Amino acid sequence: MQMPDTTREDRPLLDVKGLKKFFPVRGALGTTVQEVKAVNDVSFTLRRGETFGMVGESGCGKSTLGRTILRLTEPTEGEARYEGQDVFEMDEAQLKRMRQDMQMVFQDPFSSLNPRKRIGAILEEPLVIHGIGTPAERTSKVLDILTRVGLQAEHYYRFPHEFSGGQRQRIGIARALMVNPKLIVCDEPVSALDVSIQSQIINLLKQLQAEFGLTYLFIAHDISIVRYISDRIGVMYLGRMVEQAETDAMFAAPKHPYTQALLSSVPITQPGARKERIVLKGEIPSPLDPPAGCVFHTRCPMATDVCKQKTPQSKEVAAGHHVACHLY
Amino acid sequence: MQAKPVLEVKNLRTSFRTERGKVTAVDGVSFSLGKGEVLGVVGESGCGKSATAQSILRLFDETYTTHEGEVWFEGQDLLSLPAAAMHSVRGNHISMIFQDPLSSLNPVYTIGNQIAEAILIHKNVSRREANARVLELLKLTGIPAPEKRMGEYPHELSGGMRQRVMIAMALACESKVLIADEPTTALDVTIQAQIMALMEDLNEKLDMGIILITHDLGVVAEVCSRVVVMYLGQVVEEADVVSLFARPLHPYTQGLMKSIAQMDCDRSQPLHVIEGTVPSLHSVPAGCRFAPRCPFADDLCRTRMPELEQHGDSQKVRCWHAETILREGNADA
Repeated sequence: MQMPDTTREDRPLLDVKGLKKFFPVRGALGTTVQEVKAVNDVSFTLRRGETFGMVGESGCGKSTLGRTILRLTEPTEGEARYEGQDVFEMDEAQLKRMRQDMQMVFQDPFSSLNPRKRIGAILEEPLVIHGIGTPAERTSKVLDILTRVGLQAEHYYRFPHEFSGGQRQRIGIARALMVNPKLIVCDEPVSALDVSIQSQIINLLKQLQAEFGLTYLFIAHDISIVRYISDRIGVMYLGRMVEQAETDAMFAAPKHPYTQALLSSVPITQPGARKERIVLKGEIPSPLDPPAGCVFHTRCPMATDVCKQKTPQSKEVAAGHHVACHLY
Repeated sequence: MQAKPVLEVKNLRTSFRTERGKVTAVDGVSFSLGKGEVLGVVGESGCGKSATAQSILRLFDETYTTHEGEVWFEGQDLLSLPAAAMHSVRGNHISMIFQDPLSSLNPVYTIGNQIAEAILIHKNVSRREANARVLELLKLTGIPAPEKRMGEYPHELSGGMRQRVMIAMALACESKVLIADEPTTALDVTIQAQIMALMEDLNEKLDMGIILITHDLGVVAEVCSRVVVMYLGQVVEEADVVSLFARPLHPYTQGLMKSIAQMDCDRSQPLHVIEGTVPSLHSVPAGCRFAPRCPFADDLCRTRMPELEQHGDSQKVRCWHAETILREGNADA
């Protein structure tokens, strides 16, 4: 979390520029008739040792963004420089090496673990794939990581169904840690868990970050959790990054009308002390046919004529605070 | 302030026969719902909140389920009604909406047809009158272009719209009670805000009693007037919403409130953690069910089960140490 600045080199760990990911929709003859613009011209950087929170509602493209950066799906356009090297240009061998450094933790701990394998085998697999260590070394590494994520050595021979949701998410985290990664993309890691278990996992993620100097890209829709864990936050809407800022700056003064509405709709746990909710009209338009101009103009309470015609460019309105909106 | 109850649940026990023996999902739950009141039922997965709701409407397969206790509604005990008589209660006097509106709607019938069905079953009206009522309901629940939507199928609507359709269906027969089981959990926050505003609005306009089942304490704080907190099949605390948030008495309620990342919490401090996990219903702890995870637990807690007792005017709590906790505040705060 709050690591002293001296441990960070100036160069960002990951630098994403103009990333686009369009999914083709094919017609009867196999021709592309339309495109789903899941991620459209997104740029951001990940600094060493920080947590960058990516928020937005379903279909905003935040998960596609995470998957594209790891090249689990090929990008349409743009670049993602990891340690100065473009991930999208890497060949097979380079990509395999890169994947040791970049790991992922998934939302659903039930479907992301092979039910027929013992925990030991699940955790050793990444080491086998990357050809790390002897069998004895692999086993001792697994035992070490198990205790670090709050599980016990005796869990080595168990199967995934013997664990609760929270424990399975610990296994998912352990698997990501096996290859000593630098960056972990956490895609909704606590959304499937109960509140009392969520806090256990969030604390674990923070503790591991301090221990191993990890950088997180933390993708979630739960705004209060993202606020808690992130140093900086990016807000996505319909494939676009509409705002990014330091967490405190974002919450103190959200600039984009969408961010303002989003933050105001989070229910707060103080009865009677309700702030005014900005209730947005209508629904998120289909990403198949996003509105022209600013993608948010159809629901924006401040929209003017220019919003319907011109796509707003991202502007730095305060140090480190970027907004894509014609109001600024 | 408690208005005259429209629904009263007394000592409800719901057990299922399973391969691994009998499981009691709801164990001695009692509460009442006032007219026009919004009652929150909170708890984590497996606490029995949904099972309680489904028991009220007797939705479980009764070959595998036994209900004990009483559920009083309009002078009759729903649990002792013959199965056929329950048909006129469900969807007519008491309606229910679920978390996932897509799986609660029939994919092969239009929205208009499905809402009209509820009206035609329970009311003696013509098709034309039913359709007029459908249109009125769709307007009431804020569905844009209702004439067009009536002829559409569930897959053509978004999640928020589907939940509005479910609410319209629940309102079709002017039910006195609406049971909403996690109605906004599957929805995005901005859509959740819309649906919550709609439910509050309808509660005011139609004076309908609402039982809102949720795991989200923020939602509870914003819309409920009274709250029941459940843990492992039992009610552990009941209070009006202001007292509950100002002064939670049960260690579980306290833990739950402290463990959520609140919008104004200190980000440099670790989140509060309730140690351990919820035990399985197959191996319910002896004594107080929360004892294995409770920071206050002593031998008494581990051997004898506390009763739900009144504390102050508006609060009930199931804890041996409630008096001490009340006097000393949170032990670790």
